[in-house]
Amino acid sequence: MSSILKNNPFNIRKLSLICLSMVCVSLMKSGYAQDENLQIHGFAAQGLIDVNGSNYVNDGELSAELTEVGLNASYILTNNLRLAGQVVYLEGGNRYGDGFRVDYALLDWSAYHDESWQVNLYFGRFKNNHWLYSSSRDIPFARPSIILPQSVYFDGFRDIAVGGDGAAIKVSHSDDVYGNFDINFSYGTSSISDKQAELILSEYAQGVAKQDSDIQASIYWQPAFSSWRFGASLLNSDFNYQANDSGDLFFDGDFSFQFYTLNALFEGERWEFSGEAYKVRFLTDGFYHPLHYKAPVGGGAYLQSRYKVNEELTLLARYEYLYPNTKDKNGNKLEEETGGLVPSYFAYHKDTTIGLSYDFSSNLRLRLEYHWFQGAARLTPVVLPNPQVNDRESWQLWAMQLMYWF
Amino acid sequence: MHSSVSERNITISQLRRIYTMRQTQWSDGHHIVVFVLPKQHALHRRFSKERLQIFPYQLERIWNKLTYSGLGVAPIIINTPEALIDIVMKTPGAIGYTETIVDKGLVNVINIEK
Repeated sequence: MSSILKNNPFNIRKLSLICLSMVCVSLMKSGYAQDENLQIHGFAAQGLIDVNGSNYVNDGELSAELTEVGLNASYILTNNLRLAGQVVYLEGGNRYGDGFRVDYALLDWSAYHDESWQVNLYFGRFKNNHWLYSSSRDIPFARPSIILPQSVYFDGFRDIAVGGDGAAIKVSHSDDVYGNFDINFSYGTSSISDKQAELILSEYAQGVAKQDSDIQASIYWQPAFSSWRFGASLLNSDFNYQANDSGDLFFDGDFSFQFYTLNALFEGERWEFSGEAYKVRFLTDGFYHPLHYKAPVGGGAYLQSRYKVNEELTLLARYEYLYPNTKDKNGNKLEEETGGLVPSYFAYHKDTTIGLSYDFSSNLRLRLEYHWFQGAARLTPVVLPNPQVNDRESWQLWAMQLMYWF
Repeated sequence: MHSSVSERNITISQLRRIYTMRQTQWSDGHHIVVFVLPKQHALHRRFSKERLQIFPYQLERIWNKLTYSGLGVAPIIINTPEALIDIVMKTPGAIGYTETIVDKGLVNVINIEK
Protein backbone atom coordinates (compact mmCIF):
# COMPACT_ATOMS: atom_id res chain seq x y z
CA MET A 1 0.00 0.00 0.00
CA SER A 2 2.85 2.37 0.72
CA SER A 3 3.83 2.28 -2.94
CA ILE A 4 0.32 3.35 -3.91
CA LEU A 5 0.52 6.34 -1.66
CA LYS A 6 3.91 7.21 -2.94
CA ASN A 7 2.96 7.00 -6.57
CA ASN A 8 -0.51 8.44 -6.24
CA PRO A 9 -0.75 10.57 -3.16
CA PHE A 10 -4.20 11.38 -1.90
CA ASN A 11 -3.22 14.98 -2.19
CA ILE A 12 -4.41 18.21 -0.64
CA ARG A 13 -6.31 19.14 -3.80
CA LYS A 14 -8.43 16.00 -3.59
CA LEU A 15 -9.00 16.47 0.12
CA SER A 16 -10.04 20.11 -0.35
CA LEU A 17 -12.54 19.14 -3.03
CA ILE A 18 -14.14 16.46 -0.92
CA CYS A 19 -14.30 18.91 2.02
CA LEU A 20 -15.96 21.48 -0.28
CA SER A 21 -18.55 18.87 -1.24
CA MET A 22 -19.20 18.13 2.43
CA VAL A 23 -19.65 21.85 3.17
CA CYS A 24 -22.24 22.04 0.40
CA VAL A 25 -24.10 19.05 1.86
CA SER A 26 -24.07 20.72 5.29
CA LEU A 27 -25.33 24.00 3.85
CA MET A 28 -28.16 22.23 2.06
CA LYS A 29 -29.14 20.30 5.16
CA SER A 30 -29.08 23.42 7.28
CA GLY A 31 -31.38 25.17 4.83
CA TYR A 32 -29.05 27.76 3.30
CA ALA A 33 -29.51 26.33 -0.17
CA GLN A 34 -33.16 25.32 0.22
CA ASP A 35 -34.54 27.62 -2.44
CA GLU A 36 -36.65 25.78 -5.00
CA ASN A 37 -35.06 27.88 -7.76
CA LEU A 38 -31.54 26.93 -6.73
CA GLN A 39 -30.31 23.36 -6.68
CA ILE A 40 -26.81 22.32 -5.69
CA HIS A 41 -25.60 18.77 -6.17
CA GLY A 42 -22.30 16.95 -6.28
CA PHE A 43 -20.41 13.72 -6.00
CA ALA A 44 -17.08 12.33 -4.86
CA ALA A 45 -15.60 8.98 -5.84
CA GLN A 46 -12.27 7.37 -5.08
CA GLY A 47 -11.06 3.98 -6.20
CA LEU A 48 -8.21 1.62 -6.79
CA ILE A 49 -7.31 0.29 -10.22
CA ASP A 50 -4.79 -2.29 -11.32
CA VAL A 51 -3.90 -3.03 -14.93
CA ASN A 52 -1.82 -5.98 -15.96
CA GLY A 53 -0.21 -5.91 -19.40
CA SER A 54 -0.80 -2.40 -20.77
CA ASN A 55 -0.23 1.31 -20.04
CA TYR A 56 -3.97 2.03 -19.92
CA VAL A 57 -3.58 3.73 -16.50
CA ASN A 58 0.15 3.57 -15.72
CA ASP A 59 3.09 1.24 -16.15
CA GLY A 60 1.53 -1.53 -14.12
CA GLU A 61 1.39 -0.61 -10.43
CA LEU A 62 -1.74 -0.74 -8.31
CA SER A 63 -3.00 2.82 -8.49
CA ALA A 64 -5.34 5.22 -6.72
CA GLU A 65 -5.62 7.31 -9.90
CA LEU A 66 -9.36 6.80 -9.98
CA THR A 67 -10.70 10.04 -8.54
CA GLU A 68 -13.80 11.87 -9.68
CA VAL A 69 -15.27 14.84 -7.83
CA GLY A 70 -17.95 17.19 -9.11
CA LEU A 71 -20.10 20.06 -7.96
CA ASN A 72 -22.98 21.57 -9.88
CA ALA A 73 -25.59 24.27 -9.52
CA SER A 74 -28.78 25.07 -11.36
CA TYR A 75 -30.63 28.35 -10.92
CA ILE A 76 -34.05 29.10 -12.44
CA LEU A 77 -33.99 32.75 -13.54
CA THR A 78 -37.50 32.96 -14.97
CA ASN A 79 -40.21 30.53 -16.13
CA ASN A 80 -38.23 30.04 -19.35
CA LEU A 81 -34.59 30.68 -18.48
CA ARG A 82 -32.19 28.71 -16.33
CA LEU A 83 -28.46 28.82 -15.64
CA ALA A 84 -26.53 25.62 -14.94
CA GLY A 85 -22.90 24.68 -14.47
CA GLN A 86 -20.72 21.88 -13.19
CA VAL A 87 -17.03 21.71 -12.30
CA VAL A 88 -15.30 18.33 -12.09
CA TYR A 89 -11.92 17.17 -10.92
CA LEU A 90 -10.68 13.99 -12.59
CA GLU A 91 -7.61 11.89 -12.03
CA GLY A 92 -7.22 8.79 -14.18
CA GLY A 93 -3.53 8.27 -14.92
CA ASN A 94 -2.89 7.84 -18.65
CA ARG A 95 -6.61 7.74 -19.41
CA TYR A 96 -6.96 11.54 -19.65
CA GLY A 97 -5.38 14.70 -18.32
CA ASP A 98 -5.62 15.20 -14.56
CA GLY A 99 -7.21 18.28 -13.07
CA PHE A 100 -10.22 20.56 -12.98
CA ARG A 101 -12.58 21.04 -15.88
CA VAL A 102 -15.70 23.07 -16.47
CA ASP A 103 -17.91 20.15 -17.40
CA TYR A 104 -20.78 22.34 -18.54
CA ALA A 105 -21.77 25.97 -18.15
CA LEU A 106 -24.91 26.89 -20.02
CA LEU A 107 -28.00 29.01 -20.40
CA ASP A 108 -31.09 26.83 -20.86
CA TRP A 109 -33.93 28.55 -22.72
CA SER A 110 -37.26 26.77 -22.66
CA ALA A 111 -38.36 28.14 -26.03
CA TYR A 112 -41.67 26.30 -26.34
CA HIS A 113 -43.70 24.02 -24.13
CA ASP A 114 -47.16 22.64 -23.77
CA GLU A 115 -48.50 19.40 -22.28
CA SER A 116 -46.95 17.26 -25.03
CA TRP A 117 -44.02 19.26 -26.40
CA GLN A 118 -40.90 20.76 -24.92
CA VAL A 119 -38.24 22.63 -26.88
CA ASN A 120 -35.07 23.64 -25.06
CA LEU A 121 -32.09 25.53 -26.44
CA TYR A 122 -28.76 25.37 -24.63
CA PHE A 123 -26.05 27.99 -25.15
CA GLY A 124 -22.52 27.76 -23.80
CA ARG A 125 -20.64 24.62 -22.89
CA PHE A 126 -22.99 21.66 -23.11
CA LYS A 127 -22.56 17.94 -22.59
CA ASN A 128 -22.83 15.34 -25.34
CA ASN A 129 -26.34 13.95 -24.93
CA HIS A 130 -26.35 11.76 -28.02
CA TRP A 131 -25.13 8.32 -26.92
CA LEU A 132 -26.57 6.05 -24.24
CA TYR A 133 -24.09 7.05 -21.52
CA SER A 134 -22.33 10.09 -23.02
CA SER A 135 -23.91 12.65 -20.69
CA SER A 136 -23.19 10.57 -17.58
CA ARG A 137 -19.75 9.18 -18.47
CA ASP A 138 -18.06 11.25 -15.73
CA ILE A 139 -20.76 10.65 -13.13
CA PRO A 140 -19.60 7.53 -11.27
CA PHE A 141 -22.99 6.43 -9.94
CA ALA A 142 -24.96 7.31 -13.09
CA ARG A 143 -22.95 5.16 -15.51
CA PRO A 144 -23.16 1.36 -15.57
CA SER A 145 -19.50 0.56 -14.73
CA ILE A 146 -16.27 2.18 -13.58
CA ILE A 147 -14.73 1.72 -17.02
CA LEU A 148 -17.21 2.22 -19.86
CA PRO A 149 -17.04 0.35 -23.19
CA GLN A 150 -13.94 1.95 -24.68
CA SER A 151 -15.04 1.42 -28.25
CA VAL A 152 -17.68 4.15 -27.83
CA TYR A 153 -16.56 5.97 -24.67
CA PHE A 154 -12.85 6.00 -25.44
CA ASP A 155 -11.04 7.76 -22.59
CA GLY A 156 -8.36 8.97 -25.03
CA PHE A 157 -11.01 11.08 -26.81
CA ARG A 158 -12.82 12.01 -23.58
CA ASP A 159 -12.18 15.75 -23.55
CA ILE A 160 -13.27 16.12 -27.18
CA ALA A 161 -16.25 13.77 -27.06
CA VAL A 162 -17.69 14.81 -23.70
CA GLY A 163 -19.30 18.01 -25.00
CA GLY A 164 -18.60 21.26 -26.77
CA ASP A 165 -18.75 25.03 -26.75
CA GLY A 166 -21.62 26.21 -28.92
CA ALA A 167 -25.34 25.54 -29.00
CA ALA A 168 -27.64 22.54 -28.68
CA ILE A 169 -31.34 21.96 -29.05
CA LYS A 170 -33.55 19.29 -27.53
CA VAL A 171 -37.08 18.65 -28.74
CA SER A 172 -39.18 16.30 -26.60
CA HIS A 173 -42.62 14.98 -27.42
CA SER A 174 -44.83 12.75 -25.30
CA ASP A 175 -47.81 10.99 -26.72
CA ASP A 176 -50.12 8.39 -25.14
CA VAL A 177 -50.30 6.46 -28.40
CA TYR A 178 -46.77 6.61 -29.80
CA GLY A 179 -44.78 7.24 -26.61
CA ASN A 180 -41.84 9.55 -25.93
CA PHE A 181 -39.60 11.09 -28.58
CA ASP A 182 -36.39 13.03 -27.94
CA ILE A 183 -34.56 14.73 -30.79
CA ASN A 184 -31.19 16.35 -30.11
CA PHE A 185 -28.92 18.45 -32.29
CA SER A 186 -25.68 20.16 -31.31
CA TYR A 187 -22.99 22.25 -32.96
CA GLY A 188 -19.78 23.26 -31.24
CA THR A 189 -16.06 22.83 -30.83
CA SER A 190 -13.73 21.69 -28.08
CA SER A 191 -10.30 23.06 -27.41
CA ILE A 192 -7.60 20.40 -27.48
CA SER A 193 -5.25 20.54 -24.51
CA ASP A 194 -1.58 19.56 -24.73
CA LYS A 195 -2.34 16.39 -22.76
CA GLN A 196 -5.21 15.51 -25.09
CA ALA A 197 -2.97 16.08 -28.14
CA GLU A 198 -0.33 13.86 -26.58
CA LEU A 199 -2.85 11.07 -25.93
CA ILE A 200 -4.07 11.11 -29.51
CA LEU A 201 -1.02 12.17 -31.51
CA SER A 202 1.87 11.16 -29.21
CA GLU A 203 4.52 13.22 -27.47
CA TYR A 204 6.40 13.63 -30.77
CA ALA A 205 3.71 15.87 -32.28
CA GLN A 206 5.10 19.36 -31.65
CA GLY A 207 2.50 21.28 -33.66
CA VAL A 208 -0.99 22.54 -32.83
CA ALA A 209 -4.16 20.46 -33.15
CA LYS A 210 -7.55 22.17 -33.42
CA GLN A 211 -11.10 21.02 -33.77
CA ASP A 212 -12.84 22.87 -36.64
CA SER A 213 -16.37 21.70 -35.92
CA ASP A 214 -18.44 19.02 -34.25
CA ILE A 215 -21.97 18.38 -35.47
CA GLN A 216 -24.11 15.76 -33.78
CA ALA A 217 -27.72 14.65 -33.97
CA SER A 218 -29.68 11.90 -32.28
CA ILE A 219 -33.20 10.60 -31.87
CA TYR A 220 -34.65 8.43 -29.12
CA TRP A 221 -38.01 6.69 -29.05
CA GLN A 222 -39.69 4.97 -26.12
CA PRO A 223 -43.00 3.37 -27.08
CA ALA A 224 -45.91 4.31 -24.81
CA PHE A 225 -45.68 2.61 -21.38
CA SER A 226 -42.87 0.40 -22.70
CA SER A 227 -39.72 -0.88 -20.98
CA TRP A 228 -37.83 -0.48 -24.27
CA ARG A 229 -36.13 2.55 -25.71
CA PHE A 230 -34.41 2.83 -29.08
CA GLY A 231 -32.00 5.42 -30.40
CA ALA A 232 -29.76 6.46 -33.27
CA SER A 233 -27.05 9.10 -33.54
CA LEU A 234 -24.82 10.77 -36.14
CA LEU A 235 -21.56 12.61 -35.58
CA ASN A 236 -19.26 14.51 -37.90
CA SER A 237 -16.15 16.10 -36.51
CA ASP A 238 -13.28 17.80 -38.35
CA PHE A 239 -9.80 18.55 -37.00
CA ASN A 240 -6.63 20.03 -38.38
CA TYR A 241 -2.99 19.80 -37.39
CA GLN A 242 -0.43 22.50 -38.07
CA ALA A 243 3.08 21.15 -37.84
CA ASN A 244 5.72 23.02 -35.90
CA ASP A 245 8.20 24.50 -38.41
CA SER A 246 11.15 23.93 -36.15
CA GLY A 247 11.57 20.17 -36.33
CA ASP A 248 8.26 18.35 -36.14
CA LEU A 249 8.11 14.61 -36.79
CA PHE A 250 4.74 15.12 -38.51
CA PHE A 251 3.35 17.28 -41.32
CA ASP A 252 0.28 19.51 -41.68
CA GLY A 253 -2.84 17.37 -41.80
CA ASP A 254 -6.63 17.21 -41.74
CA PHE A 255 -8.71 14.65 -39.91
CA SER A 256 -12.37 13.89 -40.31
CA PHE A 257 -14.29 11.58 -38.02
CA GLN A 258 -17.77 10.19 -38.69
CA PHE A 259 -19.54 8.03 -36.15
CA TYR A 260 -23.00 6.46 -36.53
CA THR A 261 -24.71 4.51 -33.76
CA LEU A 262 -27.85 2.52 -33.14
CA ASN A 263 -28.78 1.66 -29.58
CA ALA A 264 -31.43 -0.14 -27.58
CA LEU A 265 -32.23 -0.26 -23.88
CA PHE A 266 -34.56 -2.53 -21.92
CA GLU A 267 -35.31 -1.71 -18.28
CA GLY A 268 -37.25 -4.42 -16.45
CA GLU A 269 -37.86 -4.81 -12.75
CA ARG A 270 -34.77 -7.02 -12.30
CA TRP A 271 -33.17 -7.43 -15.73
CA GLU A 272 -31.73 -4.70 -17.85
CA PHE A 273 -30.22 -5.02 -21.32
CA SER A 274 -28.51 -2.35 -23.36
CA GLY A 275 -26.31 -2.21 -26.40
CA GLU A 276 -24.87 0.10 -28.99
CA ALA A 277 -23.71 -0.83 -32.49
CA TYR A 278 -21.74 1.60 -34.61
CA LYS A 279 -19.86 2.36 -37.78
CA VAL A 280 -16.90 4.72 -37.78
CA ARG A 281 -14.94 6.36 -40.59
CA PHE A 282 -11.68 8.10 -39.77
CA LEU A 283 -10.13 10.10 -42.60
CA THR A 284 -6.51 11.25 -42.42
CA ASP A 285 -5.19 13.60 -45.10
CA GLY A 286 -1.50 14.40 -44.67
CA PHE A 287 0.00 14.35 -41.15
CA TYR A 288 2.19 11.23 -41.54
CA HIS A 289 3.37 12.43 -44.95
CA PRO A 290 2.12 15.23 -47.23
CA LEU A 291 0.74 12.64 -49.69
CA HIS A 292 -0.80 10.35 -47.08
CA TYR A 293 -4.54 9.77 -47.47
CA LYS A 294 -6.58 7.07 -45.76
CA ALA A 295 -10.21 6.71 -44.74
CA PRO A 296 -10.75 3.29 -43.17
CA VAL A 297 -14.24 2.27 -42.12
CA GLY A 298 -14.51 0.51 -38.79
CA GLY A 299 -17.28 -0.90 -36.67
CA GLY A 300 -18.17 -2.58 -33.45
CA ALA A 301 -20.79 -3.18 -30.79
CA TYR A 302 -21.32 -3.96 -27.15
CA LEU A 303 -24.06 -5.80 -25.33
CA GLN A 304 -24.57 -5.27 -21.64
CA SER A 305 -26.76 -6.95 -19.09
CA ARG A 306 -27.48 -5.98 -15.50
CA TYR A 307 -29.41 -7.99 -12.94
CA LYS A 308 -30.77 -6.51 -9.72
CA VAL A 309 -30.44 -9.27 -7.13
CA ASN A 310 -32.11 -7.10 -4.50
CA GLU A 311 -32.38 -3.43 -3.60
CA GLU A 312 -28.67 -3.22 -2.77
CA LEU A 313 -26.85 -5.59 -5.11
CA THR A 314 -26.62 -5.34 -8.92
CA LEU A 315 -24.57 -7.65 -11.16
CA LEU A 316 -23.07 -6.66 -14.50
CA ALA A 317 -21.86 -8.60 -17.56
CA ARG A 318 -20.76 -7.04 -20.88
CA TYR A 319 -18.98 -7.93 -24.07
CA GLU A 320 -17.69 -5.46 -26.66
CA TYR A 321 -15.57 -5.47 -29.78
CA LEU A 322 -14.18 -2.86 -32.13
CA TYR A 323 -12.34 -3.04 -35.46
CA PRO A 324 -11.04 0.41 -36.56
CA ASN A 325 -10.70 -1.06 -40.06
CA THR A 326 -13.22 -3.78 -40.86
CA LYS A 327 -11.17 -4.79 -43.91
CA ASP A 328 -8.27 -5.69 -41.64
CA LYS A 329 -9.85 -7.42 -38.65
CA ASN A 330 -6.85 -9.62 -37.86
CA GLY A 331 -4.33 -6.79 -38.30
CA ASN A 332 -2.15 -8.50 -40.90
CA LYS A 333 -2.36 -5.52 -43.23
CA LEU A 334 -1.49 -3.08 -40.44
CA GLU A 335 1.57 -5.09 -39.48
CA GLU A 336 2.64 -5.45 -43.10
CA GLU A 337 2.19 -1.75 -43.95
CA THR A 338 4.24 -0.66 -40.95
CA GLY A 339 7.03 -3.09 -41.75
CA GLY A 340 6.30 -5.03 -38.57
CA LEU A 341 6.66 -1.98 -36.31
CA VAL A 342 2.98 -2.10 -35.28
CA PRO A 343 1.88 -5.64 -34.30
CA SER A 344 -1.38 -7.02 -35.66
CA TYR A 345 -3.18 -6.85 -32.28
CA PHE A 346 -3.36 -3.03 -32.59
CA ALA A 347 -6.07 -3.61 -35.19
CA TYR A 348 -8.80 -4.65 -32.74
CA HIS A 349 -10.18 -4.18 -29.24
CA LYS A 350 -12.29 -6.72 -27.34
CA ASP A 351 -13.39 -6.54 -23.73
CA THR A 352 -15.28 -9.01 -21.56
CA THR A 353 -16.44 -7.45 -18.29
CA ILE A 354 -18.07 -8.71 -15.11
CA GLY A 355 -18.86 -6.54 -12.13
CA LEU A 356 -21.11 -5.74 -9.23
CA SER A 357 -22.28 -2.73 -7.31
CA TYR A 358 -23.55 -2.60 -3.76
CA ASP A 359 -25.58 0.27 -2.32
CA PHE A 360 -24.88 0.89 1.37
CA SER A 361 -27.48 3.67 1.35
CA SER A 362 -29.37 5.78 -1.16
CA ASN A 363 -26.23 7.78 -1.98
CA LEU A 364 -23.25 5.58 -1.08
CA ARG A 365 -22.20 2.81 -3.47
CA LEU A 366 -19.26 0.45 -3.88
CA ARG A 367 -18.49 -0.89 -7.34
CA LEU A 368 -16.11 -3.70 -8.33
CA GLU A 369 -15.28 -5.00 -11.78
CA TYR A 370 -12.88 -7.12 -13.81
CA HIS A 371 -12.04 -6.77 -17.50
CA TRP A 372 -10.35 -9.20 -19.90
CA PHE A 373 -9.06 -7.30 -22.92
CA GLN A 374 -7.75 -8.54 -26.22
CA GLY A 375 -6.06 -6.14 -28.61
CA ALA A 376 -4.58 -2.68 -28.24
CA ALA A 377 -6.69 -0.52 -30.56
CA ARG A 378 -7.96 1.53 -27.61
CA LEU A 379 -4.61 2.30 -26.01
CA THR A 380 -2.93 5.67 -26.39
CA PRO A 381 -1.31 7.31 -28.25
CA VAL A 382 -3.71 6.51 -31.05
CA VAL A 383 -1.92 7.59 -34.21
CA LEU A 384 1.53 6.41 -33.16
CA PRO A 385 1.04 3.16 -31.22
CA ASN A 386 3.60 2.18 -28.64
CA PRO A 387 4.28 -1.58 -28.93
CA GLN A 388 7.33 -1.30 -26.65
CA VAL A 389 5.06 -0.59 -23.67
CA ASN A 390 1.93 -2.32 -24.93
CA ASP A 391 3.65 -5.53 -25.93
CA ARG A 392 0.85 -7.99 -25.12
CA GLU A 393 -2.26 -8.91 -27.04
CA SER A 394 -4.14 -9.86 -23.87
CA TRP A 395 -4.29 -7.63 -20.82
CA GLN A 396 -6.50 -7.39 -17.75
CA LEU A 397 -7.85 -4.79 -15.39
CA TRP A 398 -9.63 -4.81 -12.04
CA ALA A 399 -11.01 -1.80 -10.25
CA MET A 400 -13.03 -0.86 -7.22
CA GLN A 401 -14.54 2.54 -6.50
CA LEU A 402 -16.48 3.97 -3.59
CA MET A 403 -18.84 6.75 -4.61
CA TYR A 404 -20.96 9.26 -2.74
CA TRP A 405 -23.40 11.77 -4.15
CA PHE A 406 -25.93 14.34 -3.01
CA MET B 1 -50.74 20.37 -4.93
CA HIS B 2 -50.33 23.96 -3.80
CA SER B 3 -53.67 25.74 -3.56
CA SER B 4 -52.64 28.12 -6.39
CA VAL B 5 -52.67 25.27 -8.94
CA SER B 6 -55.92 25.33 -10.84
CA GLU B 7 -55.96 21.68 -12.04
CA ARG B 8 -58.57 19.50 -10.33
CA ASN B 9 -57.97 16.27 -12.25
CA ILE B 10 -54.87 14.75 -13.75
CA THR B 11 -54.28 11.71 -15.94
CA ILE B 12 -51.66 9.05 -15.26
CA SER B 13 -49.91 10.11 -18.47
CA GLN B 14 -49.74 13.71 -17.31
CA LEU B 15 -48.53 12.63 -13.90
CA ARG B 16 -45.77 10.58 -15.58
CA ARG B 17 -44.81 13.55 -17.71
CA ILE B 18 -44.57 15.76 -14.63
CA TYR B 19 -42.52 13.29 -12.58
CA THR B 20 -40.21 12.45 -15.50
CA MET B 21 -39.79 16.23 -15.96
CA ARG B 22 -41.25 16.18 -19.47
CA GLN B 23 -43.89 18.71 -18.44
CA THR B 24 -42.43 21.56 -16.42
CA GLN B 25 -45.26 24.10 -16.43
CA TRP B 26 -48.92 24.04 -15.47
CA SER B 27 -51.57 24.91 -18.04
CA ASP B 28 -51.64 28.46 -16.64
CA GLY B 29 -47.91 28.89 -17.35
CA HIS B 30 -46.69 28.58 -13.80
CA HIS B 31 -43.55 26.58 -13.14
CA ILE B 32 -44.15 23.12 -11.62
CA VAL B 33 -42.09 22.45 -8.49
CA VAL B 34 -41.96 18.69 -7.91
CA PHE B 35 -41.33 17.27 -4.43
CA VAL B 36 -40.62 13.61 -3.69
CA LEU B 37 -39.68 11.40 -0.76
CA PRO B 38 -36.28 9.64 -0.69
CA LYS B 39 -36.00 6.75 -3.14
CA GLN B 40 -35.97 4.06 -0.44
CA HIS B 41 -39.15 5.39 1.26
CA ALA B 42 -41.96 2.84 1.00
CA LEU B 43 -44.50 5.49 -0.06
CA HIS B 44 -42.22 6.74 -2.84
CA ARG B 45 -41.72 3.19 -4.11
CA ARG B 46 -45.48 2.54 -4.09
CA PHE B 47 -46.26 5.85 -5.77
CA SER B 48 -43.65 5.19 -8.46
CA LYS B 49 -44.69 1.63 -9.27
CA GLU B 50 -48.45 1.81 -8.74
CA ARG B 51 -49.31 5.36 -9.77
CA LEU B 52 -46.62 6.26 -12.30
CA GLN B 53 -46.04 2.66 -13.42
CA ILE B 54 -42.29 3.30 -13.52
CA PHE B 55 -39.69 1.44 -11.47
CA PRO B 56 -38.11 3.74 -8.87
CA TYR B 57 -34.62 3.17 -10.30
CA GLN B 58 -35.82 4.39 -13.71
CA LEU B 59 -37.04 7.65 -12.17
CA GLU B 60 -33.74 8.05 -10.36
CA ARG B 61 -31.79 7.59 -13.60
CA ILE B 62 -33.87 10.17 -15.42
CA TRP B 63 -33.41 12.66 -12.59
CA ASN B 64 -29.66 11.96 -12.27
CA LYS B 65 -29.18 12.52 -15.98
CA LEU B 66 -30.97 15.87 -15.81
CA THR B 67 -29.16 16.97 -12.65
CA TYR B 68 -25.61 16.00 -13.52
CA SER B 69 -25.58 16.78 -17.25
CA GLY B 70 -27.16 20.24 -17.01
CA LEU B 71 -30.14 19.30 -19.17
CA GLY B 72 -32.77 20.12 -16.56
CA VAL B 73 -33.76 20.03 -12.92
CA ALA B 74 -34.83 17.05 -10.85
CA PRO B 75 -37.52 16.93 -8.14
CA ILE B 76 -36.57 18.17 -4.69
CA ILE B 77 -36.21 15.37 -2.14
CA ILE B 78 -37.96 15.86 1.20
CA ASN B 79 -37.22 13.45 4.02
CA THR B 80 -40.65 12.83 5.57
CA PRO B 81 -44.29 12.81 4.33
CA GLU B 82 -45.16 15.49 6.92
CA ALA B 83 -42.40 17.81 5.71
CA LEU B 84 -43.39 17.13 2.11
CA ILE B 85 -46.99 18.22 2.71
CA ASP B 86 -45.75 21.26 4.60
CA ILE B 87 -43.50 22.44 1.78
CA VAL B 88 -46.15 21.76 -0.89
CA MET B 89 -48.51 24.02 1.08
CA LYS B 90 -45.90 26.78 1.15
CA THR B 91 -44.58 26.60 -2.43
CA PRO B 92 -46.61 28.05 -5.33
CA GLY B 93 -46.88 25.60 -8.24
CA ALA B 94 -45.86 22.66 -6.06
CA ILE B 95 -46.90 19.03 -6.45
CA GLY B 96 -46.31 16.15 -4.06
CA TYR B 97 -47.96 12.95 -2.83
CA THR B 98 -49.16 11.62 0.50
CA GLU B 99 -51.31 8.83 1.92
CA THR B 100 -53.67 10.91 4.01
CA ILE B 101 -54.58 14.56 4.19
CA VAL B 102 -55.79 15.87 7.53
CA ASP B 103 -56.91 19.32 6.39
CA LYS B 104 -57.91 19.41 2.71
CA GLY B 105 -58.44 23.18 2.85
CA LEU B 106 -54.72 23.91 2.87
CA VAL B 107 -53.81 22.07 -0.33
CA ASN B 108 -55.43 21.19 -3.63
CA VAL B 109 -56.08 17.44 -3.62
CA ILE B 110 -56.49 16.14 -7.17
CA ASN B 111 -58.08 13.05 -8.69
CA ILE B 112 -55.94 10.78 -10.83
CA GLU B 113 -57.88 9.72 -13.90
CA LYS B 114 -57.18 6.34 -15.51
